[in-house]
Amino acid sequence: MTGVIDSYIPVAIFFIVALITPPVMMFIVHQLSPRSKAERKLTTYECGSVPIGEARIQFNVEYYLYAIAFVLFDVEVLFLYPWAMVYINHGITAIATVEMFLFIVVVLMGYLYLWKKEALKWVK
Amino acid sequence: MMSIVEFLFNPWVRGILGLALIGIIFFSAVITVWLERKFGADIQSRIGPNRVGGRFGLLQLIADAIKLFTKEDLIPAKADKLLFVMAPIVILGSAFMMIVAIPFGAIVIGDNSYPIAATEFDISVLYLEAVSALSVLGIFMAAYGSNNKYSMLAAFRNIARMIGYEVPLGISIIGIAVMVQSLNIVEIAQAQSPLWFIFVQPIGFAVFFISILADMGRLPFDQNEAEEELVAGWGTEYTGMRWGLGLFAEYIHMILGSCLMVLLYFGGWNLPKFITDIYVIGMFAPIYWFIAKVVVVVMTIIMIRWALPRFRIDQVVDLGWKVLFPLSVLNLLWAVALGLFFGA
Amino acid sequence: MVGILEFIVFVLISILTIGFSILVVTARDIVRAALSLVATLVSVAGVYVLLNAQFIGIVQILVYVGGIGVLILFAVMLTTQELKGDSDVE
Repeated sequence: MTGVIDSYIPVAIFFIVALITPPVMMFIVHQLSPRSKAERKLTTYECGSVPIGEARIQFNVEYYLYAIAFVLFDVEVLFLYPWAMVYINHGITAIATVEMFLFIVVVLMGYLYLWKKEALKWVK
Repeated sequence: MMSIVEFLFNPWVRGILGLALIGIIFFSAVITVWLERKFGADIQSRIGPNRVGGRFGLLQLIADAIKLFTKEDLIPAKADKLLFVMAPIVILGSAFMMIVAIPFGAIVIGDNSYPIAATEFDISVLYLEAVSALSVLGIFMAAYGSNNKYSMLAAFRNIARMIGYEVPLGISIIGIAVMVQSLNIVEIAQAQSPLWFIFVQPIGFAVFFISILADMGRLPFDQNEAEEELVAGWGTEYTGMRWGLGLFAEYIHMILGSCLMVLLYFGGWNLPKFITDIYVIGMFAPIYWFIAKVVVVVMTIIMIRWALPRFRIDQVVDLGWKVLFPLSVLNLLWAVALGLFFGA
Repeated sequence: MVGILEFIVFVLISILTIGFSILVVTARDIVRAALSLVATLVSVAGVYVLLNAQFIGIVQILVYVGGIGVLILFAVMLTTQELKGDSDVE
């Protein structure tokens, strides 16, 4: 009962359990399941025909654009969490609210810019 | 009495006892698989599983489990074996790590209520959001590891969908945090004992509901599986139990998402006042009340699955970025206004 | 007691962090390197939590794993060069 960090002990325990559960289950499966020695069963599934080329191909750039937009907005959202904790009852209500409105306006301007630039448009 | 409570609240004891929650949730995930099949069949006027275990196919669960355990475990020759093996661990691990922070009801003794959770900390809502996002990486690892075209498509669409809905989800949660002045999920649940937040922030709830559906990968948004177009999505190359782990993770995510929804918007485990005024409630009544709510939410989600077709990926992404994001900001402003007006 | 435990956990997390960061630069497969980077960042989140900076720790997971990790993976998948796996190199 020393501090806040104690409440993360269960998290650590669960983490270890989460790490060892799947291997244990797979171990049981390996004891129970049959084995066959066919070669073809190990080919990649592609509707029954012989697979053509690699699956690790080059992907569209639009995924990347969405990822960039996501990182931006994700960080901006995270700034709001600490603010939401303190903006009332800490004697800074007026200025905190005004500043947050300004912040949201700036974020929304960025959002409109993204929209206008068609970064949020799925091309294909 | 006091010493027992103190003993149970020791973090080590709590963490180890909390492991029972994993078992319970795992078991309820299995039941949900059955419920999904049977209830879905009812909705579509089919019979559903009825061969094993009588009319309701109750033993179907056991049959499925035996089947999963006795199937041969295959790793494709062209797979990246390490990533292929690690992927289900990450996917299931993300689900397990979510269980830690969710209180599944509370035991009420006198005026004190002791939430049934493995742990409790100040930023548990944020933690849940962070941990549930980890499963995306697991799905990517599965797809890249299995070196299958369908899996890769599924994983990329899955990530694109996930990142589109993470932001609205976060902002709708801030809408609640603004009103409660806390990110502790227990405090949030306690704060809505007179009035559920769904009535206070209906827009926020709509955003949250859609986003969490997308987060769980349930049907209108199940781009990670899409069994009609992408064979089985990320799990195309997976067999038997290795695939089953991912399946269980999906259903655990669904149950935990429903719990989160009940805790954030449907008043958690608090019984309505008109009941507590008339009856003296038992110790465990809040738990039953909580479970009843979760079951209703789970049934609703199953119903949505069998009622709606899958969205195309561009529709999904558009809905997230162009509809839900502005709506969530609107809800945030509404919540701030309410918070200022009523002063928390 | 608690001090020793914290120290042990810290050493474990440090080993994980350093190990994964070595994997980042030694992995032959570029996606494996990216995923090791993500694992490194998760371990760093563990260090933050251990330092009693829980918010930073969880923000680390949200931003670096959820956001930056995905960004790097997408960037890797954008590259035109053939992505060579370990098996192809041999």
